[in-house]
Amino acid sequence: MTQRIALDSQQHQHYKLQEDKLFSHTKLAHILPLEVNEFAAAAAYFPIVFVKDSNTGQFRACVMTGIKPGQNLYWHQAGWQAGYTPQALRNYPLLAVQPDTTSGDYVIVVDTQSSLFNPQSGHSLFAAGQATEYLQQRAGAAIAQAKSVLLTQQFIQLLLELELLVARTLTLTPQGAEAYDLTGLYLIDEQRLAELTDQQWLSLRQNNSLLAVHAVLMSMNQVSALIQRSVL
Amino acid sequence: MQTEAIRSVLVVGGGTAGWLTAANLAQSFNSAEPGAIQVTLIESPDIATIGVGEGTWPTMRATLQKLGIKEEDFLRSCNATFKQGTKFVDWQHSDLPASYHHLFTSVSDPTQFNLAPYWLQGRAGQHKSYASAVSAQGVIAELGLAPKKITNKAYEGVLNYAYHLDAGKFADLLKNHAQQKLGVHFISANVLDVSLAIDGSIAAVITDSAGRQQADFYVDCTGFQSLLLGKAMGVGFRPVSDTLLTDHAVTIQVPYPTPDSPINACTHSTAQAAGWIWDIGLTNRRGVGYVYSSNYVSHEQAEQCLRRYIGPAADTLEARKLAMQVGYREKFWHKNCVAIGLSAAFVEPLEASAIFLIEAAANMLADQLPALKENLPLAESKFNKSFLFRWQRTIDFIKLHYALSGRTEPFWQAARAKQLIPQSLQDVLQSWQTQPVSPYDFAHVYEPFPMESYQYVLYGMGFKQQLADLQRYQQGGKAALYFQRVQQLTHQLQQELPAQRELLAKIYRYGFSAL
Ligand SMILES: Cc1cc2nc3c(=O)[nH]c(=O)nc-3n(C[C@H](O)[C@H](O)[C@H](O)COP(=O)(O)OP(=O)(O)OC[C@H]3O[C@@H](n4cnc5c(N)ncnc54)[C@H](O)[C@@H]3O)c2cc1C
Repeated sequence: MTQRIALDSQQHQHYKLQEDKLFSHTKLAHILPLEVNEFAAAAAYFPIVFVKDSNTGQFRACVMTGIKPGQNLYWHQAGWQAGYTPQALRNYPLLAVQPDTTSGDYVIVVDTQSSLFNPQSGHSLFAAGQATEYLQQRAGAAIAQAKSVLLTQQFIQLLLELELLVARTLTLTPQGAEAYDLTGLYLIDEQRLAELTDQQWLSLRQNNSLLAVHAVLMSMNQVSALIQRSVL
Repeated sequence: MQTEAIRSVLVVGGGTAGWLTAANLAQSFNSAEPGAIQVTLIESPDIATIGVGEGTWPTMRATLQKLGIKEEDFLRSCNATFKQGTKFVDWQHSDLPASYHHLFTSVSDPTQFNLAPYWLQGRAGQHKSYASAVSAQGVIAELGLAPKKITNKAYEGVLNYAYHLDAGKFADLLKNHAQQKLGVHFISANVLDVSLAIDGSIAAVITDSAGRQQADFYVDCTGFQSLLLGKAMGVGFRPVSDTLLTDHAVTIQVPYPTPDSPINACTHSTAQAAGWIWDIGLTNRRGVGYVYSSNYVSHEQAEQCLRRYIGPAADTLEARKLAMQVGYREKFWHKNCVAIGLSAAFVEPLEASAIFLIEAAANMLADQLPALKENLPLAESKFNKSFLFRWQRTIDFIKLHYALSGRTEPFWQAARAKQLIPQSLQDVLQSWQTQPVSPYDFAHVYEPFPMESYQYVLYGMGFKQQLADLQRYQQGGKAALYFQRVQQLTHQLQQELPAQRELLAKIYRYGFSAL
């Protein structure tokens, strides 16, 4: 369970942030959030899928890192097993949120359940009541992620308007085990894509979305790689 | 003259019936496009709508979807909530508290595989009610949970559901949508007179502020007064007050004590000395009303009874009394006019049949309105046959609730007197004493209430069924699996489904996905 509170120069003046290159907090995650500006980089390593957030019902983009809940095939004690790491992992346990969308200001919140955030060891966050350079740089990355979340939402909105998303159930048969269905996944419907009118194509291009669509389609090649990985 | 095309429809009346019908027709005819059949609605700025009618049937989901209304917009603008059936309280006895559920979801469609014979043999466990043996929905409704999650699509449920809605706000929503999106023309005026042609068909309606309005076809949605079909065309009314005894209602709108008060997930219907009280939960208030027979209770007593039911909260609230005309027109469609809504027929609102029969009538009209006037007589006879059947079956189904009651007050004794039970109902009840309810008892495609509804009411009311030939029911193993599945689901859904208010808050914020 994550529990987020806003970073505060008084309350957290003695707190530090450690870095975890293994991303251990994702050890049991079979999907991890991804933003649209990362699609091209991620497509060579993971299938990119869309799922509904169970709390809001809104779609989000994700990479699949396992073929069943509780499994992350890219996590390894020797190090992350892919040439790309989604920014949400790198930014953890920090997150930028906009409590008041009209002012546009971001607030940096931290997952207090994470042991990376502690008073003992790591990079200092505040010095003399001011954010350290380290924190400024981490906060900048978190804000960049928050901005790309908006772009991802716009991209998904466009996919929905063009009716390009379809629900798919992946039926998986791990060796020596019974087949099971992984449900709740949505993919880009290639057939529907082929049927778009010229005008709809144009809207994809004008929104700079063609590349992202292409990356998602390319990433489907990684499904078999993922299954392969699961039997190793 | 006889080969003239039908190019325009005039709907008179802007209540739930008028707007649902106009919107449905305009959507079906594509009236927003140039050259399509024109749909116009005239509504009186002075005569109020009936202002009640808050319980619907699951058909409303298909209707709203067909009209192109987003589920979240509907829920938000009509203070609507999810309805998962009706809980009947104290219908069985006057002095022994008991209740049962009439639900919208069953684990097995009984027309495919009927679990009732196995339930009767105790295969679901002794002392297990029929509803809780065949459906998880009763428990979910009791807990005030929603029938779906935020991740479900618009109009899709984990469990089947209908809505509770604010009738006035619903008409407003339809009125806006029908004009802005569907191309319905709106005229605000009072119809003063209806002028008839020599052949008795309607020639025009005369209004106070919009002159004479003419159309190729007319829909009478003027409520109980039935201005076109009844008054102008003289089509008679067949009262059914000898079968269904209630003739009045008194209603009170009760605000919740706090904005986060829980919302009932089904309609409550609680039997009283001379009728029954409905209790419907919207987001901002409850709508509560006593439907009674004025032959058995005075209006004052009825209002007192309703106030007692509500408790001290009622002290500062105003009550409204309504007279009900219970029965149906001799014909619903006559020449170039059809009546839909209260102008066509009404029976006491025990099973929320009125709005769904409005939806059904609008659907049939949209499909059957002939292209040429010369084909009107054929459509008329089909429509009348179909809706006479549907209303008679609705009357039978309502009567079933009374026929099985063991309550002792004079009203209830009169309501189940054998000579007042329609023969068609007596016949099936006789056969059901020793035989299961069968799909062959519901052979008509447009049966208003499905087989499962009859079973919920029959077994809920404690109908004694002694099946002959138990050897005929050989699928005990399969039945046991279904009963087990219901128990699993009951457990699982309690964990998964959110409370009504919690889900509604999320819907207001995020909406439902179309996918
Ligand atoms: C006590 C009670 C409880 C009910 N509960 C339920 C329920 O839970 N579920 C359910 O499905 N149904 C219920 N109903 C039935 C439901 O209320 C109606 O079927 C529904 O509201 C449709 O009404 P209507 O549009 O036919 O009539 P009204 O709402 O009466 O509308 C009549 C319209 O005609 C217009 N009009 C009248 N005269 C003229 C004129 N001269 N010129 C122009 N316009 C005119 C009026 O302005 C109005 O717009 C209930 C009914 C009652 C009485």
